Amino acid sequence: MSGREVFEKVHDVSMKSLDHEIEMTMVLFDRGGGKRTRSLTSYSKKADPEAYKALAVFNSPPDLKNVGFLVHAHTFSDRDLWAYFPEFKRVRRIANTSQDDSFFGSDLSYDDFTGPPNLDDFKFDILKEETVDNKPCYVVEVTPKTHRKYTKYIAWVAKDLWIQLKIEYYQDKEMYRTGSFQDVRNIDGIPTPFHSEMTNKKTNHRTELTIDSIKYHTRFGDELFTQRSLERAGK
Amino acid sequence: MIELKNASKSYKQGSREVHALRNVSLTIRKGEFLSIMGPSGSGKSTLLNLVGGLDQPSQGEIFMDGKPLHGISDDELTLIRRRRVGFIFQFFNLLPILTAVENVSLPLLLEGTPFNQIQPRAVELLNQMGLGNRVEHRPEQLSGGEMQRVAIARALVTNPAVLLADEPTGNLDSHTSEEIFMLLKTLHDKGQTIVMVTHDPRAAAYGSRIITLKDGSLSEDIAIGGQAA
Amino acid sequence: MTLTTLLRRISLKHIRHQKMRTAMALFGVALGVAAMTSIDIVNSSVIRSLEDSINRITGRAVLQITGAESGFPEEMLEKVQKVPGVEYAVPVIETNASLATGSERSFVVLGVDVLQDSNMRDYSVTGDSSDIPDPLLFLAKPDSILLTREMAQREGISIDQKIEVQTVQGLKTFTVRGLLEPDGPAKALGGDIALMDIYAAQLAFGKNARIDRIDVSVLRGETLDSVKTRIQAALPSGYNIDTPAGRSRQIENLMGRFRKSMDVISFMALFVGMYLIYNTVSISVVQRKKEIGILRAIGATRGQIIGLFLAETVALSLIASFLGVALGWVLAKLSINAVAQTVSSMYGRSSVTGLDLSLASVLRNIATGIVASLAAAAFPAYSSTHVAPVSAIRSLAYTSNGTVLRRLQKILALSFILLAGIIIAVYKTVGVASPLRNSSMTTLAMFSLTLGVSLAAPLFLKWFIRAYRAVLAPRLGAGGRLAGLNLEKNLTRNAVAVAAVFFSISLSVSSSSMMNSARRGVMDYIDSVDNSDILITSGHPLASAGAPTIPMPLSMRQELESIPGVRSVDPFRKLFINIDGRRVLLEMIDVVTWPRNNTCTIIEGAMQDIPLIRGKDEVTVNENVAMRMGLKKGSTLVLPTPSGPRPFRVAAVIVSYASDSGVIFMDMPTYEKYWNDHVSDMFSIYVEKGRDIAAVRTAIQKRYQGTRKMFVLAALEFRQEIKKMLDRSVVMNDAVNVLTLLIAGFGIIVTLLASVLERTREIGILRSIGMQRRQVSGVVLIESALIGAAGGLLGICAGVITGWINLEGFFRIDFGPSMAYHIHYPSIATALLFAVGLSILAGLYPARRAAKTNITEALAYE
Repeated sequence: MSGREVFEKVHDVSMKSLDHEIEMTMVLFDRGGGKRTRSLTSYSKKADPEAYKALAVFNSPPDLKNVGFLVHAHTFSDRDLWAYFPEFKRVRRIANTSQDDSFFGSDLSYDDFTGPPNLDDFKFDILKEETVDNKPCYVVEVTPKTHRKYTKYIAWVAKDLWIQLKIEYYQDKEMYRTGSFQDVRNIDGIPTPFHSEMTNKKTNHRTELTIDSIKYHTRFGDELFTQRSLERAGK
Repeated sequence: MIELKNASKSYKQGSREVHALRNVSLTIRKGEFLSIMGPSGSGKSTLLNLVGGLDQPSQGEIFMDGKPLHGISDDELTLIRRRRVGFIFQFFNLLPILTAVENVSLPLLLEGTPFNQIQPRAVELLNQMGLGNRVEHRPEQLSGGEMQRVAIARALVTNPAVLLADEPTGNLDSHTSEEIFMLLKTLHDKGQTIVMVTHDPRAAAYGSRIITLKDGSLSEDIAIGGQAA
Repeated sequence: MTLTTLLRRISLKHIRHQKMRTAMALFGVALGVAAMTSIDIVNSSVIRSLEDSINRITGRAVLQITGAESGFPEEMLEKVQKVPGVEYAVPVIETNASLATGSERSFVVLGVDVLQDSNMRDYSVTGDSSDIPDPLLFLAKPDSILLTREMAQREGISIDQKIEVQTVQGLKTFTVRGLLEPDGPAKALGGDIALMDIYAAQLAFGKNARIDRIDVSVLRGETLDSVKTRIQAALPSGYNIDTPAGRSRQIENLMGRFRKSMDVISFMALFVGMYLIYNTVSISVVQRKKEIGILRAIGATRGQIIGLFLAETVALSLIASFLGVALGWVLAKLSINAVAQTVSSMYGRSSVTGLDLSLASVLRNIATGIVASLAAAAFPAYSSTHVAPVSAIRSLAYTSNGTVLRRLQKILALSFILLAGIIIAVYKTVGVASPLRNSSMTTLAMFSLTLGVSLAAPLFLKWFIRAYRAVLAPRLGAGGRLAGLNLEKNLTRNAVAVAAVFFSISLSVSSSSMMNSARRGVMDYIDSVDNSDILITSGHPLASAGAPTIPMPLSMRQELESIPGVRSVDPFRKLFINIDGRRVLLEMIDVVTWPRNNTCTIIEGAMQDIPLIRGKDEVTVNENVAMRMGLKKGSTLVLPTPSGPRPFRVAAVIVSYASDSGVIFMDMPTYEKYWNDHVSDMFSIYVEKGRDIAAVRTAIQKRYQGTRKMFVLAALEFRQEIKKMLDRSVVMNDAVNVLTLLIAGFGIIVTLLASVLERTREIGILRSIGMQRRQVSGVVLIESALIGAAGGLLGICAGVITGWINLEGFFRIDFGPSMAYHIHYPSIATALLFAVGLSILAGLYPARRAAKTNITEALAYE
């Protein structure tokens, strides 16, 4: 099996999970031990074969309540992103130039947040096989073909689940960001990690994500993913 | 070698015209030791100034080695003073800020010769004057006689055609004066032309020829040893 | 080279021996060079830092689009973004704010679209380096602000802290969401900068859907001009599209004005240095007369002697110039902050971080120091040639060709004075706007007059002594007679001391007369123009237009008028506009209410004309503007408005000293109409008759307590503040005056000391025939008093004239011809007293020396 074939399977699983409604809690830990908790609801819809739409709205803390984000992915490497800030009562477009930057202070990148990547943009090489959390995994080195903030990442993909259990981002030799995905449960036939953690090794900043509830195969209408509904969600 | 033809010098003092020198004709030969005598105001120094190129005659002519000293520019006259004439003054006229050797070197420094080329000669001259141990002294650290010998060394440093002395011992005691006169005599014996102004007959007697001035005119010309002009 | 050997042998020893005098001359030239150097450094450092700040704030923008003073609709942004060739177009709000507590420091708030602005400027709002704990919160909350780490540290502000800030909308509370590392704009203005998201800034500063500026970067391969033309076509008229370089050029122009006044100071310092050199060389020539004689006797040519003195001067001035450069650096370092502050308050924010010294400026200043010194030394060095070689020999009358020299001196003196006279006559006849009146002409006149009088000093001294002998000397006994004779005997040398006194007194009289005139003019103007009882400003009351102020909404006028006791309120708005590259103050007043409470001197038109311009396209201008632009009542003046150039009729020409660059008055409604700007920089309040001003003032303060921070000043206080400010500007002048007086005093000491030493024998004789020590010192003191009096008289006459030239040539051009010349009589009296007093003081030491003369030594000497 080639690296590309491994990731095609991963992509298939991701595609299946695209129609969903998730409530989750995000906890940010900064280097000083400070902790910020946010909860949000995310709605997502598979659109045409190679695209999707998503809407996420914060429920807490009060300062961020009703702050929302809207994604329209035309392809998996070309997406529009809007944000809504209720106190300004205006939708703002967020430029699509910094997909690897931190997503508003979390340890997730815009990329992490906005869905599966386009496989043609990467090169995949299987390095070895290992077990993570007693699950046998392919260890795949993923190298971007275009210039990115990272030079490569290494993913541990569970053989039978086809999801990533662990991921390490490198800038040349230096690992700067890691992620781990635990508490994998089978929801409606889709393996779903209920707890994930991203850590920035440089800033010692850590983000934990816990799924509180999840529904798949939701089949939302397009009208949920418009700028107007973004504004409405913010009210 | 020096020839004055009807040389006169007058200058204004307030509204009064002073005739310091009237129609003096005089020839000074090479190798002569000429003493100029006369009472105060008789024109001795004026005559010396004309001979040394310090001043120019109001009328008449003056030649050194056949070349005129009258009617030439200040710069030409200055170069003659620098190269052909050595001066010895009553008050020594050393520059107080310079050391003995520097004072001696001065005329050649003015010529543009670098000091390190002049220094050996200046030191040698000071040795000849018996000042070998006073080379780096300043005038204020020297006695009157020593200062005058530095001045003589300065006058000799350019090998001048003529050595001019204006009351060279006027400020010295008699013993030191004697030494200075002996020094001048020795120089004369070696062939140096010397012109000296003095009002002391004993000093004048060191010369080979004595002229006397009175009211700006030549009144007497005596050769010692039979020669007369 | 002959000269170098000679120099090493003779001159350097002299320099070493005359330590005191050498040091003074050295100091003088060094001071001149230092002044020039420090001014160069300060000037270029301020310009450099302003440019740097501009560059940091503009970032990669190559074009900047601005509209009205109060901003323009943000829809324009989209229009610009769509223009072909535009790479990025980002909105900017730039405004002044100040901390309401603590240091009340003012700073610039930059409102940018933080999500896009990284295309234009370097800072990463979400990157690893900056300290922004929660970027989402920053964007979500309208009270979010980022400060620079530098400012936060200085003010002791930490993240998540709430700060009170004074804005156009009154007091606002912001939350510091993070700190910016010194990079990009955060490094500009010395860190006095804060960053907000553009939408938050719009809310905070009342810029409803408006922005101040659009910064544009251009696609590769596009020319600036073609993109500019396309943008111009895409936008309605009235928008300025400028390059950032154009903005820094503007700043350079502004600095040019500042530099002009600084240059006068450095010129004076150099002149003082030249005077010291002149003095030193003159005295040196006199004292070394014997040495010159000896050198001449043993064969030094005249050229060699002149060369000797000039070479000494070169050596001295070279050392002095290097010292001056070093000293200039130190001075610049000491003064840079004060200067930067002055510049900030006059022309906009700046903060100087580093000193900027170019090699070219160093070389130029050193060369100037040397050339100036040589020029100063030339005359006295030339005078050395009148020492005849025979003067080395005793008992001979002193023959000299001094008559020739004296004739030359007379001719020079006369021609210089004549030249000054001609320029004065020209100034008297031509109008203020004439191109014949310019700074170089004025400088030439002052220079000629000073030089001419200096050269004429011996002549004047001769007359002066003649008068003294006729009037005063007989009453002073033998000492008085002797003093007169002594002065006359060495006329040239004593004249140098007289000239030194003259110079310093003339400087002090002229500058105080000029300052007095300027002060009287401005004070009269303020008294006549502003009859209000209370003034309200939100920035510092003395900050001029263009300074970082935070204006107040015009609607405050109604609020203020509703406060009991307030009879009437006048709003004022001031801003600088650019007319054909000239910066002119545009001042908005309420033309109907203002004349009810104020009067002004009308040059053309009538007071009744002013209210008639209400709402019309008409303005009144001050004399300066009228003169420079050739305007009369009824002429048309085209002003750049946000909606394009627009003609305005000149309704009247009036007197105003509100700005030295000219003032145009416009009616507030007219301004509101074309500029769409509804704020006021100042309100002046008239209190109802019989009401207590203090009580009304308290009521106003109470009304705005907690909502707006502002200065509420009794007008009387305001005037006193202005008076204080004017007085402060005199301090610099006083410092130069004191310096020149000290130098003059030193000149007298040197001169008298030289003459006392020279007269040792004479003093010995006088003592031997029975003159008392007291009498000996008395003679010297009378001499010094006479020198002081002669110099003082000469200085007063010249000073009054120089002051007039200065006023005519510099001030009236800037402020208008109605400014009158007021001679400052008290300063003249003090100057004379000072001159004589200082001279006597300076004479004390030489007098003591004279009195101590040992009789037997003196008589034995020579």
